[in-house]
Amino acid sequence: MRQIHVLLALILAWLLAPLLIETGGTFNLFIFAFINLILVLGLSLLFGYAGQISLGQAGFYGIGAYMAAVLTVRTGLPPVLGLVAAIIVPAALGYIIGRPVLRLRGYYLAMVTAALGLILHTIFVEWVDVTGGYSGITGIPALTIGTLTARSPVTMYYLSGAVGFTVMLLALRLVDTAYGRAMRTMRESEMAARSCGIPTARLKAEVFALSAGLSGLAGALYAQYVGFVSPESFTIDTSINLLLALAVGGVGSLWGAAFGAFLLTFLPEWVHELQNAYGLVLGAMVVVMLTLEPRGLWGIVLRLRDAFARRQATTA
Amino acid sequence: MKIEIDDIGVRFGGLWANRNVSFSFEGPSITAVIGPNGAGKSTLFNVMTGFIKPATGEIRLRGERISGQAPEKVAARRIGRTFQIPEICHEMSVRDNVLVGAHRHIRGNLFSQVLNIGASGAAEREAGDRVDVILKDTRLYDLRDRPAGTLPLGRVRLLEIARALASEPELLLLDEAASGLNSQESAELAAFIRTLPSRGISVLLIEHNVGFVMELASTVAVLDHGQLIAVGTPEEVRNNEAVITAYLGKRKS
Ligand SMILES: Nc1ncnc2c1ncn2[C@@H]1O[C@H](COP(=O)(O)OP(=O)(O)O)[C@@H](O)[C@H]1O
Ligand SMILES: [Mg+2]
Repeated sequence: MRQIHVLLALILAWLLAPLLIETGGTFNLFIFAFINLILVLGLSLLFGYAGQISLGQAGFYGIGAYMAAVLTVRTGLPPVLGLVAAIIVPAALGYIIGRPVLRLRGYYLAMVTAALGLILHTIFVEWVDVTGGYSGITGIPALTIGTLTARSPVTMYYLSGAVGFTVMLLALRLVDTAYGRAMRTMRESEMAARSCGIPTARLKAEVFALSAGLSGLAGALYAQYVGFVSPESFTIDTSINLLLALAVGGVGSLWGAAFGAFLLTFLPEWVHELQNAYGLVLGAMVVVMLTLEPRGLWGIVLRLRDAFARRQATTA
Repeated sequence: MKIEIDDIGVRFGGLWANRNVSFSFEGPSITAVIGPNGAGKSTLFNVMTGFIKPATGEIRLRGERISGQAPEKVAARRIGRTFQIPEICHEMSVRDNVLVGAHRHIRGNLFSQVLNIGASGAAEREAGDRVDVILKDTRLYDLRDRPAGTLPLGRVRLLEIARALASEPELLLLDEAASGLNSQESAELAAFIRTLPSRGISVLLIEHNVGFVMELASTVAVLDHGQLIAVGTPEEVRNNEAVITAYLGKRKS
Protein backbone atom coordinates (compact mmCIF):
# COMPACT_ATOMS: atom_id res chain seq x y z
CA MET A 1 0.00 0.00 0.00
CA ARG A 2 2.52 2.63 -1.09
CA GLN A 3 -0.36 4.87 -2.20
CA ILE A 4 -1.43 5.13 1.41
CA HIS A 5 2.05 6.33 2.39
CA VAL A 6 1.96 9.06 -0.24
CA LEU A 7 -1.50 10.03 0.94
CA LEU A 8 -0.41 10.15 4.58
CA ALA A 9 2.57 12.34 3.67
CA LEU A 10 0.26 14.69 1.81
CA ILE A 11 -2.16 14.81 4.71
CA LEU A 12 0.69 15.68 7.04
CA ALA A 13 1.85 18.43 4.70
CA TRP A 14 -1.72 19.72 4.49
CA LEU A 15 -2.06 19.79 8.29
CA LEU A 16 1.22 21.62 8.77
CA ALA A 17 1.11 23.96 5.77
CA PRO A 18 -0.75 26.75 7.63
CA LEU A 19 2.41 27.19 9.73
CA LEU A 20 4.20 28.26 6.56
CA ILE A 21 1.46 29.99 4.61
CA GLU A 22 0.84 33.52 5.79
CA THR A 23 -1.54 35.12 3.34
CA GLY A 24 -5.22 34.45 3.12
CA GLY A 25 -4.93 34.46 -0.67
CA THR A 26 -3.03 31.21 -0.72
CA PHE A 27 -5.58 29.59 1.58
CA ASN A 28 -8.22 30.63 -0.88
CA LEU A 29 -6.39 28.89 -3.68
CA PHE A 30 -6.05 25.69 -1.70
CA ILE A 31 -9.74 25.77 -0.82
CA PHE A 32 -10.65 26.08 -4.49
CA ALA A 33 -8.12 23.36 -5.31
CA PHE A 34 -9.88 20.99 -2.90
CA ILE A 35 -13.25 21.88 -4.39
CA ASN A 36 -11.86 21.25 -7.88
CA LEU A 37 -10.34 18.02 -6.60
CA ILE A 38 -13.79 16.71 -5.68
CA LEU A 39 -15.13 17.73 -9.10
CA VAL A 40 -12.29 16.18 -11.08
CA LEU A 41 -12.31 12.99 -8.99
CA GLY A 42 -16.01 12.60 -9.78
CA LEU A 43 -15.25 13.01 -13.47
CA SER A 44 -12.30 10.66 -13.24
CA LEU A 45 -14.44 7.89 -11.80
CA LEU A 46 -17.11 8.45 -14.44
CA PHE A 47 -14.91 8.98 -17.48
CA GLY A 48 -11.48 7.61 -16.60
CA TYR A 49 -12.70 4.47 -14.85
CA ALA A 50 -16.22 3.75 -16.06
CA GLY A 51 -15.60 5.15 -19.56
CA GLN A 52 -18.65 7.44 -19.71
CA ILE A 53 -17.95 10.97 -20.87
CA SER A 54 -19.78 13.95 -19.40
CA LEU A 55 -19.75 17.52 -20.62
CA GLY A 56 -22.47 18.44 -18.16
CA GLN A 57 -20.68 18.26 -14.82
CA ALA A 58 -21.09 21.99 -14.25
CA GLY A 59 -24.84 21.48 -14.21
CA PHE A 60 -24.66 19.16 -11.21
CA TYR A 61 -22.05 21.41 -9.60
CA GLY A 62 -24.57 24.21 -10.02
CA ILE A 63 -27.45 22.22 -8.57
CA GLY A 64 -25.31 21.56 -5.50
CA ALA A 65 -24.44 25.23 -5.15
CA TYR A 66 -28.06 26.36 -5.59
CA MET A 67 -29.39 23.70 -3.21
CA ALA A 68 -27.02 24.96 -0.52
CA ALA A 69 -27.96 28.55 -1.31
CA VAL A 70 -31.73 28.26 -1.70
CA LEU A 71 -32.35 25.96 1.24
CA THR A 72 -30.46 28.13 3.68
CA VAL A 73 -31.23 31.63 2.38
CA ARG A 74 -34.83 31.15 1.28
CA THR A 75 -36.11 28.48 3.66
CA GLY A 76 -33.74 29.00 6.57
CA LEU A 77 -32.60 25.42 6.91
CA PRO A 78 -29.24 24.82 8.63
CA PRO A 79 -26.26 24.82 6.22
CA VAL A 80 -25.49 21.16 6.94
CA LEU A 81 -28.87 20.14 5.55
CA GLY A 82 -28.16 22.30 2.51
CA LEU A 83 -24.93 20.38 2.05
CA VAL A 84 -26.65 17.02 2.35
CA ALA A 85 -29.36 18.04 -0.12
CA ALA A 86 -26.62 19.31 -2.43
CA ILE A 87 -25.30 15.75 -2.63
CA ILE A 88 -28.53 13.80 -2.73
CA VAL A 89 -30.52 15.88 -5.23
CA PRO A 90 -27.93 15.88 -8.05
CA ALA A 91 -27.18 12.21 -7.38
CA ALA A 92 -30.84 11.26 -7.65
CA LEU A 93 -31.29 13.40 -10.74
CA GLY A 94 -28.12 11.89 -12.21
CA TYR A 95 -29.50 8.40 -11.71
CA ILE A 96 -32.89 9.16 -13.22
CA ILE A 97 -31.40 10.95 -16.22
CA GLY A 98 -28.47 8.56 -16.49
CA ARG A 99 -30.55 5.44 -16.87
CA PRO A 100 -31.89 6.31 -20.35
CA VAL A 101 -29.13 8.67 -21.48
CA LEU A 102 -26.15 6.43 -20.79
CA ARG A 103 -27.35 3.99 -23.41
CA LEU A 104 -25.63 6.41 -25.76
CA ARG A 105 -21.91 6.19 -26.32
CA GLY A 106 -18.98 8.38 -27.28
CA TYR A 107 -19.81 11.54 -29.22
CA TYR A 108 -23.52 11.11 -28.67
CA LEU A 109 -23.13 10.90 -24.93
CA ALA A 110 -20.84 13.94 -25.04
CA MET A 111 -23.49 15.91 -26.92
CA VAL A 112 -26.36 14.83 -24.70
CA THR A 113 -24.52 15.62 -21.48
CA ALA A 114 -23.46 18.99 -22.90
CA ALA A 115 -27.12 19.66 -23.69
CA LEU A 116 -28.05 18.65 -20.16
CA GLY A 117 -25.54 21.15 -18.78
CA LEU A 118 -27.01 23.78 -21.05
CA ILE A 119 -30.54 23.09 -19.84
CA LEU A 120 -29.49 23.30 -16.20
CA HIS A 121 -27.60 26.53 -16.83
CA THR A 122 -30.68 27.99 -18.48
CA ILE A 123 -32.77 27.02 -15.47
CA PHE A 124 -30.27 28.79 -13.16
CA VAL A 125 -30.66 31.92 -15.30
CA GLU A 126 -34.38 31.85 -15.95
CA TRP A 127 -35.95 30.53 -12.76
CA VAL A 128 -35.52 33.96 -11.26
CA ASP A 129 -37.88 33.48 -8.29
CA VAL A 130 -35.73 30.75 -6.90
CA THR A 131 -32.24 31.34 -8.30
CA GLY A 132 -32.24 35.11 -8.54
CA GLY A 133 -31.41 34.93 -12.25
CA TYR A 134 -28.18 36.58 -13.36
CA SER A 135 -27.80 38.44 -10.06
CA GLY A 136 -27.73 35.13 -8.24
CA ILE A 137 -28.12 34.61 -4.51
CA THR A 138 -26.08 36.44 -1.89
CA GLY A 139 -25.66 36.04 1.83
CA ILE A 140 -25.33 32.27 1.88
CA PRO A 141 -24.41 31.28 5.43
CA ALA A 142 -21.09 29.52 5.99
CA LEU A 143 -21.09 25.83 6.73
CA THR A 144 -21.53 25.19 10.43
CA ILE A 145 -20.88 21.83 12.00
CA GLY A 146 -21.65 21.81 15.71
CA THR A 147 -19.90 24.90 17.05
CA LEU A 148 -17.45 25.12 14.16
CA THR A 149 -18.25 27.68 11.48
CA ALA A 150 -16.15 27.57 8.33
CA ARG A 151 -16.07 31.29 7.64
CA SER A 152 -12.40 32.11 7.94
CA PRO A 153 -10.06 30.88 5.22
CA VAL A 154 -8.13 28.71 7.71
CA THR A 155 -11.19 26.84 8.99
CA MET A 156 -12.42 26.35 5.45
CA TYR A 157 -8.94 25.25 4.39
CA TYR A 158 -9.12 22.45 6.93
CA LEU A 159 -12.74 21.62 6.23
CA SER A 160 -12.46 21.48 2.44
CA GLY A 161 -9.16 19.61 2.78
CA ALA A 162 -10.74 17.06 5.09
CA VAL A 163 -13.55 16.51 2.62
CA GLY A 164 -11.14 16.42 -0.34
CA PHE A 165 -8.82 13.88 1.28
CA THR A 166 -11.76 11.76 2.37
CA VAL A 167 -13.15 11.68 -1.16
CA MET A 168 -9.68 10.83 -2.52
CA LEU A 169 -9.27 8.01 0.01
CA LEU A 170 -12.70 6.56 -0.71
CA ALA A 171 -12.15 6.84 -4.46
CA LEU A 172 -8.79 5.04 -4.19
CA ARG A 173 -10.52 2.34 -2.23
CA LEU A 174 -13.46 2.18 -4.64
CA VAL A 175 -11.38 1.46 -7.74
CA ASP A 176 -9.85 -1.51 -5.94
CA THR A 177 -13.14 -3.17 -5.00
CA ALA A 178 -15.23 -5.53 -7.10
CA TYR A 179 -17.34 -2.49 -7.94
CA GLY A 180 -14.29 -0.64 -9.25
CA ARG A 181 -13.11 -3.63 -11.26
CA ALA A 182 -16.55 -3.83 -12.81
CA MET A 183 -16.32 -0.15 -13.80
CA ARG A 184 -12.89 -0.59 -15.37
CA THR A 185 -13.95 -3.69 -17.27
CA MET A 186 -17.06 -1.95 -18.53
CA ARG A 187 -14.95 0.91 -19.91
CA GLU A 188 -12.95 -1.45 -22.09
CA SER A 189 -15.59 -4.00 -22.92
CA GLU A 190 -19.24 -3.91 -22.06
CA MET A 191 -19.52 -7.37 -23.56
CA ALA A 192 -16.94 -8.77 -21.16
CA ALA A 193 -18.60 -7.06 -18.23
CA ARG A 194 -22.07 -8.32 -19.09
CA SER A 195 -20.85 -11.85 -19.74
CA CYS A 196 -19.49 -11.77 -16.18
CA GLY A 197 -22.94 -10.90 -14.86
CA ILE A 198 -22.36 -7.16 -14.42
CA PRO A 199 -25.55 -5.17 -15.09
CA THR A 200 -23.88 -2.42 -17.08
CA ALA A 201 -26.93 -0.20 -17.57
CA ARG A 202 -27.42 0.08 -13.82
CA LEU A 203 -23.70 0.40 -13.13
CA LYS A 204 -23.36 3.33 -15.55
CA ALA A 205 -26.30 5.15 -13.99
CA GLU A 206 -24.91 4.55 -10.49
CA VAL A 207 -21.49 5.93 -11.38
CA PHE A 208 -23.14 8.88 -13.12
CA ALA A 209 -25.13 9.49 -9.94
CA LEU A 210 -21.96 9.20 -7.87
CA SER A 211 -20.12 11.77 -9.96
CA ALA A 212 -23.18 14.05 -9.93
CA GLY A 213 -23.34 13.74 -6.14
CA LEU A 214 -19.66 14.63 -5.82
CA SER A 215 -20.15 17.61 -8.13
CA GLY A 216 -23.06 18.71 -5.95
CA LEU A 217 -20.92 18.40 -2.83
CA ALA A 218 -18.27 20.58 -4.46
CA GLY A 219 -20.98 23.08 -5.41
CA ALA A 220 -22.22 23.35 -1.83
CA LEU A 221 -18.71 23.84 -0.45
CA TYR A 222 -18.16 26.55 -3.04
CA ALA A 223 -21.43 28.36 -2.35
CA GLN A 224 -21.08 28.18 1.41
CA TYR A 225 -17.52 29.46 1.32
CA VAL A 226 -17.93 32.25 -1.23
CA GLY A 227 -21.37 33.17 0.16
CA PHE A 228 -22.65 33.96 -3.32
CA VAL A 229 -23.76 31.99 -6.38
CA SER A 230 -24.62 33.07 -9.89
CA PRO A 231 -25.11 31.14 -13.14
CA GLU A 232 -21.80 32.18 -14.70
CA SER A 233 -19.88 29.73 -12.52
CA PHE A 234 -21.78 26.81 -14.04
CA THR A 235 -21.41 27.16 -17.78
CA ILE A 236 -20.19 24.61 -20.28
CA ASP A 237 -16.77 26.30 -19.99
CA THR A 238 -16.55 24.91 -16.47
CA SER A 239 -17.46 21.42 -17.67
CA ILE A 240 -14.89 21.56 -20.45
CA ASN A 241 -12.17 22.88 -18.13
CA LEU A 242 -12.77 19.96 -15.77
CA LEU A 243 -12.37 17.53 -18.64
CA LEU A 244 -9.22 19.28 -19.89
CA ALA A 245 -7.76 19.34 -16.38
CA LEU A 246 -8.39 15.61 -16.12
CA ALA A 247 -6.77 15.04 -19.52
CA VAL A 248 -3.65 16.96 -18.51
CA GLY A 249 -3.44 15.27 -15.12
CA GLY A 250 -4.12 11.79 -16.42
CA VAL A 251 -7.42 10.27 -17.42
CA GLY A 252 -6.93 6.77 -16.11
CA SER A 253 -5.66 7.66 -12.65
CA LEU A 254 -7.05 9.28 -9.51
CA TRP A 255 -3.65 10.81 -8.79
CA GLY A 256 -3.73 12.26 -12.27
CA ALA A 257 -7.13 13.75 -11.42
CA ALA A 258 -5.58 15.35 -8.35
CA PHE A 259 -2.76 16.84 -10.45
CA GLY A 260 -5.34 18.15 -12.89
CA ALA A 261 -7.45 19.74 -10.16
CA PHE A 262 -4.50 21.56 -8.63
CA LEU A 263 -3.26 22.66 -12.04
CA LEU A 264 -6.72 23.97 -12.90
CA THR A 265 -6.64 26.06 -9.73
CA PHE A 266 -3.08 27.28 -9.64
CA LEU A 267 -2.30 27.74 -13.33
CA PRO A 268 -4.38 30.94 -13.67
CA GLU A 269 -2.41 32.39 -10.74
CA TRP A 270 0.96 31.37 -12.09
CA VAL A 271 0.35 32.87 -15.49
CA HIS A 272 -1.46 35.83 -13.97
CA GLU A 273 1.01 38.30 -15.40
CA LEU A 274 0.24 37.07 -18.89
CA GLN A 275 -3.42 38.09 -18.52
CA ASN A 276 -5.52 35.63 -20.48
CA ALA A 277 -2.59 33.38 -21.33
CA TYR A 278 -4.09 30.79 -18.97
CA GLY A 279 -6.28 29.32 -21.68
CA LEU A 280 -3.32 29.25 -24.01
CA VAL A 281 -1.13 27.42 -21.53
CA LEU A 282 -3.80 24.89 -20.49
CA GLY A 283 -4.81 24.33 -24.11
CA ALA A 284 -1.21 23.80 -25.20
CA MET A 285 -0.68 21.37 -22.33
CA VAL A 286 -3.70 19.33 -23.42
CA VAL A 287 -2.45 19.18 -27.01
CA VAL A 288 1.09 18.25 -26.01
CA MET A 289 -0.03 15.75 -23.38
CA LEU A 290 -2.56 13.89 -25.45
CA THR A 291 -0.15 13.52 -28.35
CA LEU A 292 3.02 12.72 -26.40
CA GLU A 293 1.87 11.19 -23.11
CA PRO A 294 -1.80 10.20 -23.13
CA ARG A 295 -1.54 9.21 -19.47
CA GLY A 296 -0.99 12.88 -18.66
CA LEU A 297 1.20 14.29 -15.90
CA TRP A 298 0.64 11.11 -13.98
CA GLY A 299 2.12 9.21 -16.92
CA ILE A 300 5.25 11.33 -16.66
CA VAL A 301 5.49 10.47 -12.97
CA LEU A 302 5.19 6.78 -13.86
CA ARG A 303 7.90 7.12 -16.49
CA LEU A 304 10.24 8.82 -14.08
CA ARG A 305 9.57 6.13 -11.50
CA ASP A 306 10.28 3.36 -14.01
CA ALA A 307 13.48 5.07 -15.19
CA PHE A 308 14.57 5.46 -11.59
CA ALA A 309 13.80 1.80 -10.85
CA ARG A 310 15.82 0.75 -13.88
CA ARG A 311 18.78 2.85 -12.80
CA GLN A 312 18.59 1.35 -9.35
CA ALA A 313 18.54 -2.10 -10.91
CA THR A 314 21.60 -1.48 -13.09
CA THR A 315 23.69 0.14 -10.35
CA ALA A 316 22.79 -2.55 -7.83
CA MET B 1 -28.12 -30.04 -17.01
CA LYS B 2 -29.75 -29.99 -20.41
CA ILE B 3 -29.48 -27.36 -23.10
CA GLU B 4 -31.99 -27.27 -25.92
CA ILE B 5 -31.35 -25.15 -28.97
CA ASP B 6 -34.73 -25.04 -30.63
CA ASP B 7 -35.27 -23.67 -34.13
CA ILE B 8 -32.95 -20.68 -33.71
CA GLY B 9 -33.07 -18.12 -36.51
CA VAL B 10 -31.09 -14.86 -36.66
CA ARG B 11 -31.28 -12.33 -39.46
CA PHE B 12 -28.78 -9.60 -40.33
CA GLY B 13 -30.44 -7.61 -43.10
CA GLY B 14 -31.06 -10.07 -45.88
CA LEU B 15 -28.75 -12.71 -44.43
CA TRP B 16 -29.89 -15.52 -42.17
CA ALA B 17 -26.81 -15.98 -39.95
CA ASN B 18 -28.67 -18.81 -38.19
CA ARG B 19 -31.66 -20.62 -39.68
CA ASN B 20 -33.68 -23.43 -38.13
CA VAL B 21 -30.79 -24.46 -35.89
CA SER B 22 -31.90 -27.17 -33.46
CA PHE B 23 -29.88 -29.57 -31.36
CA SER B 24 -29.53 -30.36 -27.71
CA PHE B 25 -27.02 -31.86 -25.32
CA GLU B 26 -26.78 -32.94 -21.72
CA GLY B 27 -23.94 -32.35 -19.32
CA PRO B 28 -21.42 -32.65 -17.99
CA SER B 29 -19.99 -33.15 -21.44
CA ILE B 30 -17.94 -31.59 -24.21
CA THR B 31 -19.85 -30.58 -27.32
CA ALA B 32 -18.43 -28.84 -30.37
CA VAL B 33 -19.87 -26.55 -33.01
CA ILE B 34 -17.80 -26.56 -36.16
CA GLY B 35 -18.21 -25.01 -39.57
CA PRO B 36 -16.42 -22.78 -42.05
CA ASN B 37 -15.85 -19.08 -41.38
CA GLY B 38 -19.10 -17.14 -41.50
CA ALA B 39 -21.18 -20.26 -40.86
CA GLY B 40 -22.95 -18.59 -37.92
CA LYS B 41 -21.16 -20.22 -34.98
CA SER B 42 -20.38 -17.03 -33.06
CA THR B 43 -23.88 -15.79 -33.78
CA LEU B 44 -25.29 -18.88 -32.11
CA PHE B 45 -23.10 -18.21 -29.05
CA ASN B 46 -24.35 -14.63 -28.96
CA VAL B 47 -27.91 -15.90 -28.95
CA MET B 48 -27.13 -18.39 -26.19
CA THR B 49 -25.53 -15.68 -24.01
CA GLY B 50 -28.17 -13.02 -24.54
CA PHE B 51 -26.24 -10.63 -26.79
CA ILE B 52 -28.56 -11.30 -29.72
CA LYS B 53 -32.31 -11.85 -29.54
CA PRO B 54 -33.22 -14.52 -32.06
CA ALA B 55 -35.85 -13.83 -34.71
CA THR B 56 -37.20 -17.34 -34.29
CA GLY B 57 -36.91 -20.13 -31.76
CA GLU B 58 -35.57 -20.28 -28.24
CA ILE B 59 -32.79 -21.67 -26.07
CA ARG B 60 -33.81 -23.63 -22.99
CA LEU B 61 -31.71 -24.49 -19.97
CA ARG B 62 -33.34 -27.23 -17.88
CA GLY B 63 -36.52 -26.56 -19.78
CA GLU B 64 -36.56 -22.83 -19.00
CA ARG B 65 -36.17 -20.28 -21.74
CA ILE B 66 -32.98 -18.22 -21.48
CA SER B 67 -32.85 -16.65 -24.96
CA GLY B 68 -34.08 -13.09 -25.10
CA GLN B 69 -32.83 -12.36 -21.58
CA ALA B 70 -30.10 -9.79 -20.96
CA PRO B 71 -26.53 -11.19 -20.99
CA GLU B 72 -26.05 -10.48 -17.28
CA LYS B 73 -29.19 -12.47 -16.52
CA VAL B 74 -27.91 -15.36 -18.60
CA ALA B 75 -24.58 -15.20 -16.76
CA ALA B 76 -26.50 -15.53 -13.50
CA ARG B 77 -27.85 -18.84 -14.83
CA ARG B 78 -24.26 -20.06 -14.67
CA ILE B 79 -23.35 -19.80 -18.30
CA GLY B 80 -19.85 -18.43 -18.88
CA ARG B 81 -18.16 -17.60 -22.15
CA THR B 82 -15.05 -16.41 -23.95
CA PHE B 83 -14.89 -14.29 -27.09
CA GLN B 84 -13.40 -15.01 -30.49
CA ILE B 85 -11.73 -11.61 -30.36
CA PRO B 86 -10.63 -11.43 -26.72
CA GLU B 87 -12.42 -8.90 -24.55
CA ILE B 88 -10.20 -8.16 -21.58
CA CYS B 89 -9.33 -5.10 -19.52
CA HIS B 90 -5.80 -4.30 -20.71
CA GLU B 91 -4.67 -1.95 -17.97
CA MET B 92 -5.91 -4.15 -15.15
CA SER B 93 -3.76 -6.94 -13.76
CA VAL B 94 -4.27 -10.54 -14.83
CA ARG B 95 -5.58 -11.39 -11.37
CA ASP B 96 -8.04 -8.49 -11.30
CA ASN B 97 -9.35 -9.53 -14.71
CA VAL B 98 -10.06 -13.00 -13.37
CA LEU B 99 -11.63 -11.53 -10.24
CA VAL B 100 -14.15 -9.78 -12.48
CA GLY B 101 -15.41 -13.22 -13.36
CA ALA B 102 -16.22 -13.75 -9.67
CA HIS B 103 -18.21 -10.50 -9.59
CA ARG B 104 -21.54 -12.21 -8.97
CA HIS B 105 -20.19 -13.93 -5.90
CA ILE B 106 -18.90 -10.78 -4.22
CA ARG B 107 -21.92 -9.41 -2.43
CA GLY B 108 -22.68 -5.90 -1.46
CA ASN B 109 -23.09 -2.53 -3.12
CA LEU B 110 -20.83 0.43 -3.70
CA PHE B 111 -21.01 1.58 -0.08
CA SER B 112 -20.57 -1.75 1.66
CA GLN B 113 -17.62 -2.57 -0.57
CA VAL B 114 -15.85 0.76 -0.22
CA LEU B 115 -16.34 0.85 3.54
CA ASN B 116 -15.66 -2.86 3.80
CA ILE B 117 -18.73 -3.57 5.89
CA GLY B 118 -21.10 -6.49 5.81
CA ALA B 119 -20.09 -9.64 4.00
CA SER B 120 -18.15 -7.87 1.23
CA GLY B 121 -14.68 -8.34 2.72
CA ALA B 122 -15.11 -12.04 3.39
CA ALA B 123 -16.64 -12.63 -0.03
CA GLU B 124 -13.77 -10.77 -1.67
CA ARG B 125 -11.21 -12.90 0.16
CA GLU B 126 -13.03 -16.12 -0.70
CA ALA B 127 -13.22 -15.08 -4.34
CA GLY B 128 -9.52 -14.21 -4.22
CA ASP B 129 -8.64 -17.67 -2.93
CA ARG B 130 -10.72 -19.33 -5.61
CA VAL B 131 -9.20 -17.12 -8.29
CA ASP B 132 -5.69 -18.05 -7.18
CA VAL B 133 -6.53 -21.74 -7.64
CA ILE B 134 -7.89 -21.01 -11.12
CA LEU B 135 -4.78 -18.98 -11.94
CA LYS B 136 -2.63 -21.95 -10.99
CA ASP B 137 -4.81 -24.34 -13.01
CA THR B 138 -4.47 -22.17 -16.07
CA ARG B 139 -0.76 -21.50 -15.43
CA LEU B 140 -1.29 -17.79 -15.18
CA TYR B 141 -0.33 -17.56 -11.53
CA ASP B 142 3.20 -16.32 -12.16
CA LEU B 143 1.82 -13.61 -14.44
CA ARG B 144 -0.95 -12.54 -12.05
CA ASP B 145 0.36 -9.03 -11.38
CA ARG B 146 1.15 -8.20 -14.99
CA PRO B 147 -1.19 -5.83 -16.84
CA ALA B 148 -3.34 -8.12 -18.95
CA GLY B 149 -2.55 -6.05 -22.05
CA THR B 150 1.06 -7.26 -21.97
CA LEU B 151 0.20 -10.95 -22.38
CA PRO B 152 0.68 -12.82 -25.67
CA LEU B 153 -2.47 -14.10 -27.38
CA GLY B 154 -2.11 -17.65 -26.08
CA ARG B 155 -2.19 -16.38 -22.49
CA VAL B 156 -5.01 -13.96 -23.21
CA ARG B 157 -7.18 -16.87 -24.36
CA LEU B 158 -6.38 -18.69 -21.13
CA LEU B 159 -7.14 -15.52 -19.20
CA GLU B 160 -10.61 -15.36 -20.73
CA ILE B 161 -11.18 -19.00 -19.79
CA ALA B 162 -9.93 -18.33 -16.27
CA ARG B 163 -12.28 -15.36 -15.94
CA ALA B 164 -15.22 -17.42 -17.14
CA LEU B 165 -14.32 -20.21 -14.72
CA ALA B 166 -14.21 -17.75 -11.83
CA SER B 167 -17.93 -17.23 -12.31
CA GLU B 168 -18.37 -20.94 -11.49
CA PRO B 169 -20.24 -21.80 -14.66
CA GLU B 170 -22.11 -24.98 -15.25
CA LEU B 171 -21.83 -24.40 -18.99
CA LEU B 172 -18.74 -22.84 -20.53
CA LEU B 173 -18.86 -21.54 -24.10
CA LEU B 174 -15.47 -21.24 -25.77
CA ASP B 175 -15.33 -19.33 -29.05
CA GLU B 176 -12.26 -20.48 -31.00
CA ALA B 177 -10.19 -20.81 -27.88
CA ALA B 178 -7.40 -22.53 -29.77
CA SER B 179 -7.07 -20.08 -32.64
CA GLY B 180 -3.77 -18.26 -32.65
CA LEU B 181 -2.17 -20.82 -30.36
CA ASN B 182 0.88 -22.84 -31.36
CA SER B 183 0.59 -26.64 -31.39
CA GLN B 184 2.00 -27.08 -27.91
CA GLU B 185 -0.29 -24.45 -26.45
CA SER B 186 -3.34 -25.95 -28.10
CA ALA B 187 -2.42 -29.45 -26.89
CA GLU B 188 -2.17 -28.07 -23.35
CA LEU B 189 -5.46 -26.29 -23.77
CA ALA B 190 -7.14 -29.48 -25.01
CA ALA B 191 -5.81 -31.39 -22.01
CA PHE B 192 -7.18 -28.71 -19.72
CA ILE B 193 -10.61 -28.59 -21.36
CA ARG B 194 -10.82 -32.37 -21.03
CA THR B 195 -10.64 -32.06 -17.22
CA LEU B 196 -13.64 -29.73 -16.98
CA PRO B 197 -16.58 -32.19 -17.21
CA SER B 198 -15.22 -34.14 -14.23
CA ARG B 199 -15.64 -30.89 -12.26
CA GLY B 200 -19.24 -30.64 -13.35
CA ILE B 201 -18.60 -28.08 -16.08
CA SER B 202 -20.05 -28.70 -19.52
CA VAL B 203 -18.17 -27.22 -22.43
CA LEU B 204 -19.55 -26.07 -25.74
CA LEU B 205 -16.73 -25.12 -28.02
CA ILE B 206 -16.51 -23.49 -31.40
CA GLU B 207 -13.69 -24.35 -33.69
CA HIS B 208 -13.00 -24.10 -37.32
CA ASN B 209 -9.92 -26.27 -36.80
CA VAL B 210 -11.68 -29.64 -37.05
CA GLY B 211 -8.78 -31.73 -35.75
CA PHE B 212 -8.80 -29.96 -32.40
CA VAL B 213 -12.38 -30.87 -31.57
CA MET B 214 -12.63 -34.38 -32.92
CA GLU B 215 -10.66 -35.84 -30.03
CA LEU B 216 -12.29 -33.67 -27.39
CA ALA B 217 -15.98 -33.59 -28.10
CA SER B 218 -18.47 -36.38 -27.64
CA THR B 219 -21.01 -34.58 -29.84
CA VAL B 220 -20.25 -32.40 -32.83
CA ALA B 221 -22.72 -30.05 -34.52
CA VAL B 222 -21.86 -28.71 -37.94
CA LEU B 223 -23.10 -25.35 -39.23
CA ASP B 224 -22.84 -24.13 -42.79
CA HIS B 225 -24.39 -20.93 -44.16
CA GLY B 226 -26.32 -20.58 -40.92
CA GLN B 227 -27.90 -24.02 -41.09
CA LEU B 228 -27.24 -27.12 -39.09
CA ILE B 229 -26.07 -29.69 -41.62
CA ALA B 230 -25.09 -32.50 -39.29
CA VAL B 231 -24.96 -33.44 -35.63
CA GLY B 232 -23.61 -36.62 -34.06
CA THR B 233 -20.51 -38.29 -32.74
CA PRO B 234 -17.18 -37.18 -34.27
CA GLU B 235 -17.13 -40.43 -36.24
CA GLU B 236 -20.60 -39.89 -37.69
CA VAL B 237 -19.84 -36.31 -38.58
CA ARG B 238 -16.53 -37.15 -40.19
CA ASN B 239 -18.24 -39.52 -42.61
CA ASN B 240 -21.22 -37.30 -43.30
CA GLU B 241 -21.59 -36.41 -47.00
CA ALA B 242 -22.92 -32.91 -46.40
CA VAL B 243 -20.05 -32.11 -44.05
CA ILE B 244 -17.45 -33.32 -46.49
CA THR B 245 -18.93 -31.18 -49.26
CA ALA B 246 -19.20 -28.13 -47.02
CA TYR B 247 -15.56 -28.32 -46.04
CA LEU B 248 -14.24 -29.42 -49.44
CA GLY B 249 -16.45 -26.91 -51.19
CA LYS B 250 -14.99 -24.22 -49.02
CA ARG B 251 -11.47 -25.33 -49.71
CA LYS B 252 -11.90 -25.19 -53.48
CA SER B 253 -13.19 -21.62 -53.50
N1 LIG C 1 -23.48 -7.89 -36.05
C1 LIG C 1 -23.56 -8.35 -37.31
N2 LIG C 1 -24.12 -7.59 -38.28
C2 LIG C 1 -24.22 -8.06 -39.55
N3 LIG C 1 -23.79 -9.25 -39.96
C3 LIG C 1 -23.21 -10.06 -39.05
C4 LIG C 1 -23.05 -9.65 -37.68
N4 LIG C 1 -22.44 -10.64 -37.00
C5 LIG C 1 -22.21 -11.61 -37.89
N5 LIG C 1 -22.67 -11.28 -39.12
C6 LIG C 1 -22.64 -12.11 -40.32
O1 LIG C 1 -23.28 -13.32 -39.98
C7 LIG C 1 -22.60 -14.41 -40.56
C8 LIG C 1 -22.19 -15.39 -39.48
O2 LIG C 1 -21.19 -14.79 -38.70
P1 LIG C 1 -20.53 -15.53 -37.45
O3 LIG C 1 -21.59 -16.04 -36.58
O4 LIG C 1 -19.55 -14.61 -36.86
O5 LIG C 1 -19.77 -16.75 -38.16
P2 LIG C 1 -18.67 -17.73 -37.58
O6 LIG C 1 -18.49 -17.46 -36.14
O7 LIG C 1 -19.21 -19.09 -37.86
O8 LIG C 1 -17.42 -17.47 -38.36
C9 LIG C 1 -21.43 -13.83 -41.34
O9 LIG C 1 -21.77 -13.73 -42.69
C10 LIG C 1 -21.22 -12.48 -40.71
O10 LIG C 1 -20.68 -11.58 -41.64
MG1 LIG D 1 -16.86 -16.81 -35.15
